[in-house]
Amino acid sequence: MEKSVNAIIPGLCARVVVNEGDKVSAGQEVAVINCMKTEISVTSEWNGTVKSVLSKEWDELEVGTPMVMLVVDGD
Amino acid sequence: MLKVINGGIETLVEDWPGRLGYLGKGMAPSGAFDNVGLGFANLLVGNPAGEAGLEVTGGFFQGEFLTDSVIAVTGTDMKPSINGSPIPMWESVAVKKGDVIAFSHIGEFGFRCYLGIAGGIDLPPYLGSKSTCIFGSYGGFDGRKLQPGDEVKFAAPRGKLKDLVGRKLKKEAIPEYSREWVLRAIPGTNTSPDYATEEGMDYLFSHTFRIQHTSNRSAYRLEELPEGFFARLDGGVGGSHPSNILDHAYAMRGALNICGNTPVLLIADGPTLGGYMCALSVINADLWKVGQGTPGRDFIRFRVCSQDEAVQARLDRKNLFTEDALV
Amino acid sequence: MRIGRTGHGIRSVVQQTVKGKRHMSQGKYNVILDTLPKTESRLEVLFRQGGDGFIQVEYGREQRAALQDSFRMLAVNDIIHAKKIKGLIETVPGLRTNLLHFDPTVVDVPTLIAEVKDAEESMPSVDDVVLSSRLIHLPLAFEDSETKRAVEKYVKEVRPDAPNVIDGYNLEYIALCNGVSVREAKDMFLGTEWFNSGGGFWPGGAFLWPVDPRCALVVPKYNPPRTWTPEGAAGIGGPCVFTYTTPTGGGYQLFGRTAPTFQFSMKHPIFKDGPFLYRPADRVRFHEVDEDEVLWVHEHVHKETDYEYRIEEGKIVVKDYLAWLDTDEVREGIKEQNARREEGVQKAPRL
Repeated sequence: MEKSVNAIIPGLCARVVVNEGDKVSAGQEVAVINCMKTEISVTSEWNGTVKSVLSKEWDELEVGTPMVMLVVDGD
Repeated sequence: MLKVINGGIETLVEDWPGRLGYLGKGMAPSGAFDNVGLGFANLLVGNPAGEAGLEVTGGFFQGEFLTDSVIAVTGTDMKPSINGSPIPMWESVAVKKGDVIAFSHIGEFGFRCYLGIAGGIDLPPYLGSKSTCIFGSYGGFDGRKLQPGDEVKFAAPRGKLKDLVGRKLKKEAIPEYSREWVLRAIPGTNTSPDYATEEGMDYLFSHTFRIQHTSNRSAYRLEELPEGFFARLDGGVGGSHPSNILDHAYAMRGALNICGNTPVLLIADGPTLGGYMCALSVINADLWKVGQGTPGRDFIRFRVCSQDEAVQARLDRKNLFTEDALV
Repeated sequence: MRIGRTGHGIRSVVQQTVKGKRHMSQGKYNVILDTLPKTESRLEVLFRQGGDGFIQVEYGREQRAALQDSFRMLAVNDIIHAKKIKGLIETVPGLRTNLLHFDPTVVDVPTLIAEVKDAEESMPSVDDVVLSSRLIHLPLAFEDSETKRAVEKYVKEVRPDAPNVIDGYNLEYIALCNGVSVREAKDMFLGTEWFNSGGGFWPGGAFLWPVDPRCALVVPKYNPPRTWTPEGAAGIGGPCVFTYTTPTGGGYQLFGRTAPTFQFSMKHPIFKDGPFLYRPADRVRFHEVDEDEVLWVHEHVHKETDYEYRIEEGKIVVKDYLAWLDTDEVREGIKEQNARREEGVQKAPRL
């Protein structure tokens, strides 16, 4: 099953810290958003593998904007 | 008592009107960014409107109650839940020892929500207020945002808990939220003709400004001003840029600082003095709207307001937090 | 960005309005609510609207940095406070402005302006302007290890090629900018009282101006600023000395370290009524000590809480100050120092 890790707050994408093919586990930081002059961590809710990276530095994000697409383990 | 499981993006202890009387000592008033949200949360749990509560910015706060209490959540809809079941907003709710409260991300409208607790938060006021100034790291809970493991103590409720449950705000009393916030403002201290052009001031009072994502409790940054705003070529002995002025005190909270070409609303923890001109001040009764303005998403528009209207608006706000507002 | 191109922007409107007559303080956005005329002892007084709970009292229409304006502003400020005006929350004096912060549901604007006018008019001639002013003696260790550490950290982490850091410190640069030797610069810091025109920039902070203009040193601020400065650090930025009340970032050129001037916990008796040492109108005089003494003072302010601050009550008689400023000796001295500074500015690297 595919799941997207989404922006949790409006802001600018500071960076995505995972690459295509990376294994990620639940709770792991996958991206960082700049908001309120603070870096806010976006974590994965699932264990899985990064299928694609959808955001890049400076992208404007809304709550819910997909940042990383995962193939979730156990399918 | 509430034990913090997840502090979320930024959760602070704030009261209202905050720490007044220390601008000249370099200390901002701080205080609830949306004082109307806090006021209603307090009213619902039987507290005076200015009592300290928790201001949850951005969402994701989570905590476990270590005592029975009565709470109320107001502000943006972060889908608050107790033990995974949704709870209503704008009404008081009983919680039991061991209950876990959780908030999700911000709602469609607004940026901050308020958690009012029967009795309020038991912290010693610092210089007359329980508010946190995160910019200066003082006041509130150790001068910082809440972290996992923190234990926030509650003061004694003003009434029996069972009598405080189920208090509900009338639908028409719930403040109207928007993505475009119209702020009533009084021009000054530095306007046309001596500092800005009249056309520049017209622009300020007609343009719809996007709130920049860098906005926080010290400053809400807006879009840059176009050429032609300034009436001067430079700031004289104040500095090389026409926005410069010899250091003067800022009308905090509410002053719109022109910092270079960027208009910056000074609010809550903002600077109290500096070397930039101020073109207008948001009236005290409309400050709450700034707190619900979402950085990177919402817009701000200023509307000229008279002193009389501003004073009336203050009186009207004072009258909001009465039993008449409840169902 | 030029909005004028959109058709309803600023530029097009300018052309329509320049034809009309415009005078100072008139027009649609006039915020000058009232004025008092200039007299022999003071500039014109302007009352500027600054929000529904703020009025700014301003001296003159020109941006001018002159201590006598601040002396008068603070003397009037004392009178305003003595009136105990109901609804006045606080006043925030600056060098040539005073911000009145009030609750408009308790006191209205005309009443407040009338009270300030009354205070102003109670000092009709320059002879009447006498300002209560405490003299605070503070120990100062030039180029101590703590502030040196702050400079070292700056070079390592922020700006390795910082031209304001010479031999690992800022004193040489301060001297260079003013056309004097390091010893002369030190003597200038020690040779005058430093007047607090008011605080407001940082908790407990004060902007300190040289009472003797012959000791005036002027320097640019750090570019970019430091990320850390120790508590008690003494720095200079523009013409003002600042003693750092808490550890923080900052942009002033550092020249040494002095006693604590702020205490969050309010444990030491001097801070029992509030965490601040400085009040507006205070004067500071530095005396040179070695670094160990400054460390001892910090220990005895924060831990032992038994350090005795040396503070004398006093006053500033503005008429005498102006007469002294006008003596040949002082005027000559100012001229000489200005000439040396002009030369210094040419030689000093830009930041």
